[in-house]
Order: sequence, then C-alpha cells, then structure tokens
Amino acid sequence: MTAEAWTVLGGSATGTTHVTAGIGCQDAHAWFVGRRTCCFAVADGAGSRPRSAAGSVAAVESVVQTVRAAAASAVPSVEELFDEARARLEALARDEGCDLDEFATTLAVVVITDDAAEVGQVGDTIAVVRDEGGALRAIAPAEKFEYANETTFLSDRSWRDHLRVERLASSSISGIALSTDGLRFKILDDLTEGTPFAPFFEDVFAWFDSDAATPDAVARFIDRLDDQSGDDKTLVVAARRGPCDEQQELYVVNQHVAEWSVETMPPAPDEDRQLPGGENGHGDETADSSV
Amino acid sequence: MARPWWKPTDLRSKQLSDLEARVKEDNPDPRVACALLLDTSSSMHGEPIQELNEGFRVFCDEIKDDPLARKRTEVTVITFGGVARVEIPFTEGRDLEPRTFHANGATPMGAALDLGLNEISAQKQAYKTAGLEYYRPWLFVISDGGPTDGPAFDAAAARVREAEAAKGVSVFGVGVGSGDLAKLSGLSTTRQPLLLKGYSFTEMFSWLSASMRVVSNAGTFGSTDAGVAQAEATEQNPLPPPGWATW
Repeated sequence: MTAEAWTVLGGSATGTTHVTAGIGCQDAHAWFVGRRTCCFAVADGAGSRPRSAAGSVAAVESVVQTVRAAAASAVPSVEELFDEARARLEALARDEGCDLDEFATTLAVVVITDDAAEVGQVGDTIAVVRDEGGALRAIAPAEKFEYANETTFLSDRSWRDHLRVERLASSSISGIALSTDGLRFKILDDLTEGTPFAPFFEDVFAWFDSDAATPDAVARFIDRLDDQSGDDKTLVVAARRGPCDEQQELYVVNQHVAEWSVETMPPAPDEDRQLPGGENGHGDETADSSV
Repeated sequence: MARPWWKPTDLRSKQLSDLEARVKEDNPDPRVACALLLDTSSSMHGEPIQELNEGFRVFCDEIKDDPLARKRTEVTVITFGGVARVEIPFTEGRDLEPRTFHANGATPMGAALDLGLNEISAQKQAYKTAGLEYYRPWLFVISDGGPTDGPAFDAAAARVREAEAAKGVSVFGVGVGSGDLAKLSGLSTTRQPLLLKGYSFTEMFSWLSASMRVVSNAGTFGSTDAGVAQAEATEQNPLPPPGWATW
C-alpha cells in the first residue's frame, strides 16, 4: 500500500423518522487503514429492535479490529470477517442475556490488499465500485423480498446463505463506496436493479481528489440530504489518492478516531505527532459512547 | 516533507469546503392511488353536478396544501354518465387540476367499476415496475341512482368485492339523494355505503382530502399487496368522521 495509498472517508446521519421517534442513529461505520491493508464496513441496525444500534457498531468494530489485529501477511478473508462479526453479536447477546435478534443488523465489508479487493454483504446494503476507467457498477445488489422493509440480518439463523461476496483484482479498481439503504432513493438510479446513480458517484469521487475531502464533510452532506426514506444514512468511500511517500495507520469507528499514527519514510522527527499507543496499542479505546 | 492529507483533529472541522454531489431527484415517495368514480348521469343535472364540481375544486386545492399528500396521492377520475370513461388519468396531487363535469345520459356504473379496477391494477403494476412502494388504493364511488347496466354491474361488483377481499383496494360507496344504497352496499363486505347529506359535496371532498392526508402521512405502505396488508396490521390510522353523511 505504499505506492498509492487508499484513503477512506465517511459518515453517518440520523434519519428524520429516527429523530422524530427519538431512537437515535442505528447505522454504524468504521474503517482501518494500515500499511498493507485498507478495510471498511457499514451496518444498519434494524429499526424495530431495541439494541440494534449496539449490534451495528459491534459488527463494524469487529471487522476493523480483526483486520488490524491480523498480521499483514495473513489478511483475513471477508468470510472470516463475517464469521468474527457474527461471533461478536452472539457474545454480546450472551453477555446481555438477551435474544440475538435484538442486535439485528445488516453488514457490508470491503477489504483491500495489494492484490485483491473483497466485498461482502449481508442485507440491503449498497456497494458501488469504480474501475480504472471510471466506470461505475453496483456489486451484488440486495435480494428483493416480498415486503418492502424485509431484508436479511447478520443475526439471522440463515445469514450465511445470504452472504454475497465478490472478489476483484485491486489493480482493476480505483474506488469503492458502501452505503446503507437509507440513501437508496438518492444514490441509486434504478431501485429494482440496484444500479448506481452515476452523477452522484462521479461528484463524490471528483471531490475525493480535492484537498477539501474530510469525513465530517461527508457526514454534513448526508445529514442535510432530504433522504425521502426517513431512515438513517451512511456513506463510506475509498479511493486511491495519488502517490504517497508516507505510511499512515488510522482506525475510525463512527466518526471517532480510535487510533492514529503516521510514519514518514524515511523516518523523520516530528514533534507534532506524539500520539498515544502507536500502531499496536489501545485497541480497546474504540467504543464510541455517542452511538 | 510529506504530510498526511488530513489529521484526525480535522474530523469535525467546519472550515473546509463541503461536499456537493448531484443526487437522484425523482419522487420516490410511496403512492396512494385514489380512483374517483363520479356519477354524471342526467339525474345529476342542476344543483347536484354544480355542487360536485365545486367540491372537486376544493379537493384539488386541499390535496396540494399538504406536503406529503401532494407527492403521494395520485388521483384518477372516471365519470359514468351515458358512457363510463377516464376523465382524468392518474395524476400526482400537486398536478391535479379542477374540471367541470356535465350531467348527461344513463348510469353505467358497472362499466365504471371495471374501468376503475383496471386503472388501479395498471397503476399498481406501474409502481412495481418503477420500484415505488404504495398504500392500499382507494376506490371511491359516488352515485345518485341505480346502475343501468345491470348484468355488467353485478359482474363488476363481484370483481370489486374480490379485490377488496384480497386486500388490493379499499372501497367506499356514497349515495346521493335517492341513491340506491342497496346496490352500493353490494360493492363491499366490510364498509357500508354512506348517504350524502343533501348535496354537501364540498364537505365530502374535504373529508376525502383530509383522509388522503392521514393515509399519506402514515407508514402503511409496501411493495406488494401482502406487504401493504402487513404494514396496515401494525399501524392504525383512523380516518376523520364523515360529518357529511346522514346515518
């Protein structure tokens, strides 16, 4: 990941119906940018379940923690990440002494290494990939069910049957975006086919290349967007951002920077960056009470 | 010296320029299709048709006043006076324009019911094709006399009852003056027809627009009839009392 580092940006916003009902944001997102891997995840806790916000944040946290904890030579497959995230939900249900269903959440995961980009999804998440030529394509759009709000969750007994995985050569792609279903009316061109609304992604990736691109700008943008679904909204975007002569490691959960370190190559003293923990410390400081 | 292109401290920065991106602006709102079947037979001549026209004008205005109803309600008007015909094809509330109906001819209510069901069914299919969710459509029938197309009416009424039983449509019958409530009551097994107080069409149409507001502000929509029925089972949205009816 040294030549052209991947950069990840994203945010979540509470949906209008969730604001009205006073139930807060049940979407979650997280990303981890390491030396040889880049990983990000979005999750949408089921609106009707009381603990689904805890479920969505546990799922995305599990994904990025697992990737971060793994040796660079043994990056977990997306299937392994889903297994881990599912196990995390089960542990949560055990600890809290309640039903696994209460933590119902969808989950979408992207893991990028030097060789491959893997995309995995359970539920009605949205994944859009941009190839080297700039062409956009939806990856494994969600299955359609009879009922409008019906989808599959990681907490479902049969979740594994509904896991959709696609592997791409990293050299063939220049960007990937993940979203929960709250933005579907705004960023999809055809809801039944799940095709992306190209102007949106063109604008996002163009903006991504500018210096103004920061995660809070994503959060502000989706917050003011009239979603028409009333649902929570999440967008996380990754793209190659030019040649990079530094190595950074960054770990973000729900807009909260859990960990951050930078090493410039060759190493140079920099008094501004006395950051706690280094790349391997304080993995437990990731819980975000604002969720 | 290379720098990270943003620092964690910038996460909540307000200084940098914001993201602006084009988004899909179509009207993705769930729709409630409302088919108005209006009796414009010759017996409606004079005050009744005038009052009906005035009531429909008020209805068009009121539908536009509600931010959700104007986007979610889609109305078609089918008249039956001499012949049954689609006078206004399904139109979004915000684009609905008043029209002056004229009284003339016999009362082919059966043909109008068939047309209404066909229009609703086609509209539902259009929603599905477009990926739009919908509420249970309304079939609202107003008549001041008995149907003059007897056998066609009986067959159409059976179709209406069948559609109602399949939860595919909500059926409302309104009798005017000497309206044949016995025939109208054959349209629904769950809802009795109501008799309009005099020619209080304006009050009736106001009630209808208020009801469309109630429906279009509710969450009782889905992408199939079964999905709609499931949503309805978990949410009660009482309609306003029909003060325009005699009991």
